[in-house]
Amino acid sequence: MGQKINPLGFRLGITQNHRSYWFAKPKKYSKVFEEDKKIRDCIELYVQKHIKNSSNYGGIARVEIKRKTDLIQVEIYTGFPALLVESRGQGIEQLKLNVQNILSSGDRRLRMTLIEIAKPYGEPNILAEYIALQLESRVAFRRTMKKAIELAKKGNIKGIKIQIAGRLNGAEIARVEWAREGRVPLQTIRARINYCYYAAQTIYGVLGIKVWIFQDEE
Amino acid sequence: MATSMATSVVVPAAAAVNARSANGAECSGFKVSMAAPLLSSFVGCKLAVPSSSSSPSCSFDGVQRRSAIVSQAVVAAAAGVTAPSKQKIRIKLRSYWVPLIEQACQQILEAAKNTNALTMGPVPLPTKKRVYCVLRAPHVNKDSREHFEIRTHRRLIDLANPNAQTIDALMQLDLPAGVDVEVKLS
Repeated sequence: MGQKINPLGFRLGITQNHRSYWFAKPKKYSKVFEEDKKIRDCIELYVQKHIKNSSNYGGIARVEIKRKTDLIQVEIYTGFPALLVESRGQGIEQLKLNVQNILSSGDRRLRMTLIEIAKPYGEPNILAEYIALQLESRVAFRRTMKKAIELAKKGNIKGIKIQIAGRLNGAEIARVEWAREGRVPLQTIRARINYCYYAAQTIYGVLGIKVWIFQDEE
Repeated sequence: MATSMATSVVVPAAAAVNARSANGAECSGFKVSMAAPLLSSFVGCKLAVPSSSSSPSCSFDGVQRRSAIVSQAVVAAAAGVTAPSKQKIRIKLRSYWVPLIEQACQQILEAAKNTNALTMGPVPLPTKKRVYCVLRAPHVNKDSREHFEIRTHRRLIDLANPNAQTIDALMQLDLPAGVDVEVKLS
């Protein structure tokens, strides 16, 4: 509907850190930005292709990219690192190769690390992916939302809100449903709120899933 | 004028040495944009000086007096790099984040002070703000917009009388990601 500002952008600089750390002069800025996007897309694609066999969702919370002049550090924060380390002993070599092919000039070294998150369901990205998975396998949405909230409460969060929009349960008329537990003060800037939007592709169309998680204040 | 001729001769040799650090050396004042193992320009400077001492005599072939003056200036420049005298390093830092640039300044000043070079700074230059005004709505509503800005924080550090130790220490420095460094030798 268009009145709420993205809580991540609202808090950038205070209680929210950037996901990419680099400096580029105005002429090169767009190229570096495009490269960042390509790296993230490549990682997402790799996860979707390779994790099809197991539980079907990759569990990547965020990707942080730090650039120094001849080193690119990519840190992948994931809740289930075992899923990404596919074959024995190889680690993320394949993923690293893929990303290196994408980077335009091979002049720079690439360093990729996997960082595990304790309590993965406290991250909205992972939770939203889980909900999408359930919805795509035609589970009733209300049950999905309740289960997701239960999963999230296992971590120490102070509030969670889930909103699902679209053709719920395959209905002809789309509607919006949301469930909340605890408090989620979106107007408070010092509240640390993490947010994610994820689209679930079902046979009836796209369901938009928004997850807000209120971690703590300050 | 003799000294400016000397530097313009030194630069091509240094550029050949620094072929790897892609952002090339410009002729005006030997400005080299920095990359993470900082100050590879110093390597180029040291190597360039002995090789260029021969070239002035080649380029100013027929004019004996001028070649003498130029080679003198080159020797002075050579002496300037290795022995503490009028050499000055100007380091310009740029970043979008204040804590990062402060940290980078502290690291550079520490490295310089440990090796006994005179430091001047960090001088905070005015912050540059690039403001973008975009429409809020996807379709109509031209009157409602939103402003975004990118703030570039800048700091300036001067190091007088650098010696080989300073240069080594600076080269080994590992500055935080997100800080852009530009080094100018004069």
